[in-house]
Amino acid sequence: MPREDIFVAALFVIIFGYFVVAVRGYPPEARVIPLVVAVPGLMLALHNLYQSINKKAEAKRARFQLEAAMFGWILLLVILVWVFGFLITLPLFLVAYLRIRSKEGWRITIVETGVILLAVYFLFYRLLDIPLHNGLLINLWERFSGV
Amino acid sequence: MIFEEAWAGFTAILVPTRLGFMLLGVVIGNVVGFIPGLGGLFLLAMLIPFVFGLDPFSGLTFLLGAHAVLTTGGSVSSILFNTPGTPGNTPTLLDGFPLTQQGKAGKALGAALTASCTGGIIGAFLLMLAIPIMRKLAMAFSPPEYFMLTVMGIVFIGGLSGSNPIRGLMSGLLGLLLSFVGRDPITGSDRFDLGLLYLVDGLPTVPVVVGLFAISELISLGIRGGTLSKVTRVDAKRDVWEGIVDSFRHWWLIVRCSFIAVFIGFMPGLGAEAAGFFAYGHAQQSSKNPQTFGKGNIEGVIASETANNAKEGGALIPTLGFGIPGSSGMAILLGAFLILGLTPGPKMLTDHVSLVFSMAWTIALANLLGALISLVFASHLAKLSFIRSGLLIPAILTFAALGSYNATKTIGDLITMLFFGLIGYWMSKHKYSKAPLILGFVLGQLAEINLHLSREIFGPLFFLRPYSLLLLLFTVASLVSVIVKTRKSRSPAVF
Repeated sequence: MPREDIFVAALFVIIFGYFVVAVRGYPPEARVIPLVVAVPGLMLALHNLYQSINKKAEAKRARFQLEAAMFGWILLLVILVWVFGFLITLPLFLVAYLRIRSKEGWRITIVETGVILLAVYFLFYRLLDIPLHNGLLINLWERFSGV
Repeated sequence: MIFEEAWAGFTAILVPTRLGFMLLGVVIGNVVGFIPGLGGLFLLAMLIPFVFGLDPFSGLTFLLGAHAVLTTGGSVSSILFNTPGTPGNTPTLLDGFPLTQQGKAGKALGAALTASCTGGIIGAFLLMLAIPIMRKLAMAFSPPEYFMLTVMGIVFIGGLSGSNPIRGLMSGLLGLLLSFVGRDPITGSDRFDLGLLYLVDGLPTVPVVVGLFAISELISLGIRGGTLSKVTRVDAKRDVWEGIVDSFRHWWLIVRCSFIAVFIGFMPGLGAEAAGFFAYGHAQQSSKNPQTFGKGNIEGVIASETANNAKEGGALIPTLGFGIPGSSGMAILLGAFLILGLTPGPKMLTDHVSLVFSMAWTIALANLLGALISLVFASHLAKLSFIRSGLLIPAILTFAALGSYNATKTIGDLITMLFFGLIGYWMSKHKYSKAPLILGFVLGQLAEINLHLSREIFGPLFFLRPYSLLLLLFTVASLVSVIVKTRKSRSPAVF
């Protein structure tokens, strides 16, 4: 945890540092307010980093693994939506999460997946008529097939 | 004369068909508000085509009825799932979700819905009172006053930082910087956009908020397991009733927050979303137990939800009186008025006064209906907090992703949601308060624009204008109060 604390503190230094450096190419009026905010922010972040480095403790690997796993599932959802679109991804992701991660039985998995998909279909497709992302593959296929 | 117009406005909406349209609008508004990411702009854009051919009163009761209760529905997802239904509901989750984790979701819902209803009704009455003096009110404020108000809001950041002011201030400053991403409205320069087309218009609010609060909480919940509520099941119906009583117990807070919200909503360009934060900050500063904010203090929920609904009355004032929309939702509503054959502006206050009163009565009645409908389901909704996380996470994640995607309808929205989900998780884990970040994000660009305008129009000493000076003095007093309270209480971070 302390190593992560240092990492997070360093991240803030990098983020504030980026803003300080990035404004160099902007006109003076566009530069002034962000600099007024970013420079004190960078100073605070450096002070915070110094404090974090001085803390004692060891990182908890097991917790990191749990965090990585949970983050991994959400990242998987984003990647699948990007590639395959919502229509294909949602049922696959829901079944996979409920069976693998939540370790639920088939009955609950199918019922919950069905209810969520029905709600999405009714709300987003029928009632609100919101077009959802088709996915990279479908878009490429439509482009090459001339549809 | 004015009472006759008010009565005429009231009786005009009591026609069964118009009440029917209002009820339909209220139901739709509640549902749309509940789903994260959709919001007021989407709702109005979706409903406007349906008003073609309707008489003005029916069209207005339908649209205003839906818009007035948007944040009422949004409070439910804020409290239950740490996912604000609309950006304006963000302050509600600061104390609403901790209450859910304590097994008091029913109490939070009861209080939120009652406060929403009461705030909305007070906001509507203040609108009615403001009708005779609209012009004078609007002319009193200009960019220097707007800038001072945003500074005042940003000073509240200090009050939301808990016991670690340095980390709280960093969080707030980061929020300000994030608001500067995209095209600079003054010079047209593209700032901090990493060369990406997606960021040219700035970071969209919904994926940022959903990521910071909802996704980060889903990660925590997935690791922790169990249920949203960290305690065993309680009597949800009794809890809801307790929340309703709590709301009336804090009646004076509701009145104060309503006035604050109407004032904020009245300022075109200040951002009606900020009303909830201003009210929340005021509630914390005036509370006897400020250190308990962020840990499930019901006053935080009451203040935020009161303001969310009360602001609608305020936002209508410049929209109707001058044709200047008080919020982005009002901008679309302005279009609807034109479709219905109405021309907002000074003439509306002379030739169509009863119609203006009808709008105010609609807001009041819609808030009452919206709260009653939601309260019927509140105890059942509260039980969702006791469902195990393995079942809840995929459902919430699905709607969070869909809601975020709706911001710009590009995959960048999901990436933004994911990125800020990680940032939000790390911030929570390492005790960096998230509330200042989101407040800085909401107010940052407004502050910059108004500062530039103030300097251009009034010169560098713009803050010496009477109202500006008054606001500056009040801001300094608030800052001193925050510093003194922080030293006294040394409370943990809000998030």
